[in-house]
Amino acid sequence: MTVFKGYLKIIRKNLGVIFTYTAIFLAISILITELMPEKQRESFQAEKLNITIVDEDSSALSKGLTEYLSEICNVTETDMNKEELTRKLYARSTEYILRIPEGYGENFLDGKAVLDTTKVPDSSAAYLIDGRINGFVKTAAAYIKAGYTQEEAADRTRRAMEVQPDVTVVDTGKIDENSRENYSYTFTYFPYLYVTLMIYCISFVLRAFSDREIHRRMLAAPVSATSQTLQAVSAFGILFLLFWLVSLLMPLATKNGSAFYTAPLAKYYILNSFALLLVSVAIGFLAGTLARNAEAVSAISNIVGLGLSFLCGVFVPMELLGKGVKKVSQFLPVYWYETANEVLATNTTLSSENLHTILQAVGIQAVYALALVIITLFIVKRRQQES
Amino acid sequence: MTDMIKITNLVKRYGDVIALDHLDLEVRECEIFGLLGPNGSGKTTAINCILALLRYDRGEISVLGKPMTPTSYDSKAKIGVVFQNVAVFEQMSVYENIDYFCSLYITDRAARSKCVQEAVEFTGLGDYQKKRPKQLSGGLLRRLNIACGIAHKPKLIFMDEPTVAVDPQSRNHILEGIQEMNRNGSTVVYTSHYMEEVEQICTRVAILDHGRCIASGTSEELKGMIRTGETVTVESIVLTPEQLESIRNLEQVFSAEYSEETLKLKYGSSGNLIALLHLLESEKISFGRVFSEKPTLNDVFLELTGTELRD
Repeated sequence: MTVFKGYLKIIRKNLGVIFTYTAIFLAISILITELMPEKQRESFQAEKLNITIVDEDSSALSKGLTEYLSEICNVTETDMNKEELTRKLYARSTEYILRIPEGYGENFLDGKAVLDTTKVPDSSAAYLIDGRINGFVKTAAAYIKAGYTQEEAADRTRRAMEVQPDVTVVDTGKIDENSRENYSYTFTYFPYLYVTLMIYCISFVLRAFSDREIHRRMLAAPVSATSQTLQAVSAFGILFLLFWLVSLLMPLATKNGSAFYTAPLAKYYILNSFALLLVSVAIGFLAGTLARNAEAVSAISNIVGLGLSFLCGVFVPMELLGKGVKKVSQFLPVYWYETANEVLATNTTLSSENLHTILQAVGIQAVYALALVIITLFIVKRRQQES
Repeated sequence: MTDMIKITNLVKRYGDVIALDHLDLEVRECEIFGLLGPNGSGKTTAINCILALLRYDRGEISVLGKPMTPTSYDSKAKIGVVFQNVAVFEQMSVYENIDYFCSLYITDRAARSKCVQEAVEFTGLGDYQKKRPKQLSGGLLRRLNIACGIAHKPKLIFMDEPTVAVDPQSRNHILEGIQEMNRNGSTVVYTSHYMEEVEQICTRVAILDHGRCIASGTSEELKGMIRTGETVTVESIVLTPEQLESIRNLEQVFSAEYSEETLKLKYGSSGNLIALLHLLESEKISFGRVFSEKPTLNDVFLELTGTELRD
């Protein structure tokens, strides 16, 4: 395992850079998620409106209506005159005044007596009360027409109005932008970290071992080329695996990040990030093969890392990208990572269509990785033949 | 003595260019064998073929008594290589570099540690063990290159121009080191285009030119192959054509060159300086410094190829 240890030794010399990049990445991630607005509350408390009722009728029907409204509003019964009531309304100590005129119950069906309402102009709450009163009146009228007495009609109407529809909220799994989990942003920024670091690390190590003189010396040593390759692959494998596992711990650095590990979609995040790792590694190997010196490595890692990030919606949300940019970015693997990530970030459960989108994105990334590896092998082979 | 390396009829072509042209060589055990030749004469190509780093078109190579192939790991384990260009990891320290290359041959940590320490002392890198290659001078870097190649105590060591661009102090250190390794039982194949070095340390020498071995043997044997026995140089001398002709007619003189008031005479065997001085006195010719030189390997190369070794 000599060659393996040699690779690890060279990789170890890179740890400073890896830590620096990771620290910067985490700092940016945390900063961005901290600046996000607080999530909208998922629960609410219904508020009761203050209304004033002047019951001049005191019939069974008017009492029934008052009782019904008492259940849904804060009702104040009074015998104030109109001027005093208007002052009260002006001071907003009440938002709705209902006057039930004398003889209302008696003349209920023939419509000679009508309810008198005064409300805050353009108050949406007042319209709601209007609707409730109308509902009560129409229902009570139906009962009376059916032969019920006013007491019975009022009682039955009240009970009928109490019946609440049994509402079942169907969970579509869709959540809005403000409700996204903080860790989803960490995953959004992964492509920059993965691509930049993989290019840097792989190029750094490859350049050391593919140096012509060192390569010759290694060939002159009593270790077969196959064994050397396998040991190199093992060393790189360990680097990639460790890097990936560490990156999966990064959500912990964000607020409520531990929720990621119990989230039902966590496995898809992990799968998607693994596909991104494969692509990043393949890009790293290609860059390492092409880069001639340290300056070139630095330039390639910045250009490719930032370029892919800006084009594929890492730093700028996809919906803000122009159509032209989107069309171009569809030919880039990071676009597919972000597509899958977006689906995961904006859903709590996955429909079969969403699942298909994610698996398709992962598959496309894997194909990209394979294609890049083939291109790299072709270049290496050609260079060997030339030399 | 047994042959450590035996090369028979080796041919290596790069397209239309023949790098090795039916090369035959034998390197015996416990000798320092010099491969001497100008740049492009085929020295490095020959080493690459011997180490099975290059495919060749024709011929046979055996190393340590066995045919050499890319998978001759038994043989490779007993070989040390110091290439012309420094082959070390910039990211590792001096000690780590030696340890890494030694670990390709010796897996036992304790044994390796001892070997690495000895290589560090041998190359005089004790004070630089923790330094990175970038922090070393050219001479120290060469020493590190050597330490990486010989730390595992190989039986057969290839050194391809290890003293190129090295200061005199480091060069002497390297040459003394090679002789010490040889005294400790290693066979060394040493390539150089510095004839003085080769003459100084090599027990036998092969002269390569255009991929061919044009002569081989000990330095004395090689010098014996040429006509020049001694070269006498007379400085600050003014001669007429007649006087120059008289000098050319002296016994044993087969070449007399005169230019810029300097006379250079080549004698077939040892030069008769007294006869020359008598002639100059009788002709009343004044002259400055007179000195005589034994033939060098450069003279051998010059006579055999018609060109200077350093051309």
